[in-house]
Amino acid sequence: MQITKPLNVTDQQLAQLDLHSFLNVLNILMGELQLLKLDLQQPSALPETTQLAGEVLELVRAGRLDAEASSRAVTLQATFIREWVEQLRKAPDAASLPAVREAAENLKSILKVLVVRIEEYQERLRTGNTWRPHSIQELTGNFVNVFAAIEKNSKGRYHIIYNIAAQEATDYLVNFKIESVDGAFINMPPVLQDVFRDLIANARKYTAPGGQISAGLVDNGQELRMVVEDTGCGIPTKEVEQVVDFGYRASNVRDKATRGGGFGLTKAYSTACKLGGTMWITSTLGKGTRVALHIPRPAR
Amino acid sequence: MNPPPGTSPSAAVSLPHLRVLLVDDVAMNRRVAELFLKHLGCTVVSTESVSAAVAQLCAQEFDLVFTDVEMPEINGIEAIQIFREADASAHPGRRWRLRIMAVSAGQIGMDHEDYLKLGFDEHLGKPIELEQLRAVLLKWEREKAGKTV
Repeated sequence: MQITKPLNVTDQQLAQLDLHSFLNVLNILMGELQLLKLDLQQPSALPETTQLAGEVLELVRAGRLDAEASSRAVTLQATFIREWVEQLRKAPDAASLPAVREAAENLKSILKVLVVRIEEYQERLRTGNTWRPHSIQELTGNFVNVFAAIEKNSKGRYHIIYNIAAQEATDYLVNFKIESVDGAFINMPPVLQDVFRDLIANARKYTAPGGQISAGLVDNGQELRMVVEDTGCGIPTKEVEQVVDFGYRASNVRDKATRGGGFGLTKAYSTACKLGGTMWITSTLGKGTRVALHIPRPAR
Repeated sequence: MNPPPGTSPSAAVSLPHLRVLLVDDVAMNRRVAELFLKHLGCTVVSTESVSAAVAQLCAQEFDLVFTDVEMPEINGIEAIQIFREADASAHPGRRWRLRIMAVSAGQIGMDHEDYLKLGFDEHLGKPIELEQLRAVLLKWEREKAGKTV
């Protein structure tokens, strides 16, 4: 069905969501940093990294996701890598400890995510909903990385597979394609990349391992179409329109242990409305959900 | 009030031996909290939801529930009632009252005092600071040893 209800979310609420997401990443980063020092049995290890991480945390707590926060996050990432190399030079045996290795790898991974996410956020602030060309190859690479991060976060509980012949019982089968009449590039506002990522993450969360997720983006010359479909738990029919409400989670998944307070669809609907597009949700309880956004191309 | 972020952990002193039920829906948060608690000498059972935590509370006796209060499935107010009822029902004869600690990232507009008023025994903000956690656990360990209810 096409979603036509009035939007009930403010830009301020959407901005808060971004801030909370960054705070979550930073809180985990601070925890991993403490763990690494514990495992090294050196409370004063990585002093510059510790200092910079605290500064970035304070900036984000103050609502600063600006150029300074971005610059410090980049410096933090480089500083950690430098200090870690120095640390290993001084105490090479540390690298052989599994707990140390795990904490260090987690920190590298979290810092990478932090830097990319702040850059994306700033890009969005700069260009807003402005349409601009994106390399399809680069976009596809970004999404392959997203799937890889999801798989890594499962700690081996499942794998993400792109070839049905390789799928095992607990693997997700993913079909993913981006195409455009413009060939190697697709025109769209940067915010749609976030929307696409959130919808894909939702589809994964609400689909049990062994299921299938299909995600596609196409520019056919008239409009941009984004579709994410899963074979997951579905949405009760009476709640299909409500799931775009700010913070609403369908009654059949409220006790499901997933992160996310029900904001992915809210953001998708808000974005579709702002861009003059439409959103469609089709769902069958216990069988799956299909979310589609149709966004008209702006007049040239 | 949290100490400054990134404060370095000091050398371990006498460690608490509390049985802790950890509840957090984010795997990476669970990992950090579990390793902190274990480092401090606690026995830890980790769960990713309130419903899984209740099952654990019914199955065995814990000294402490260490729970994130910003989980999508339930809020802190509901959680504390559920934990207390489950524990009281499963372990009516316990001699030391179950402690419940709220952990939050400050996303739902409540401060430390608000959590205490709700009935939580303690509240820590994220990022968790090891030394702050140690201080709370040592206090409870002493209370438990003296059987202060």
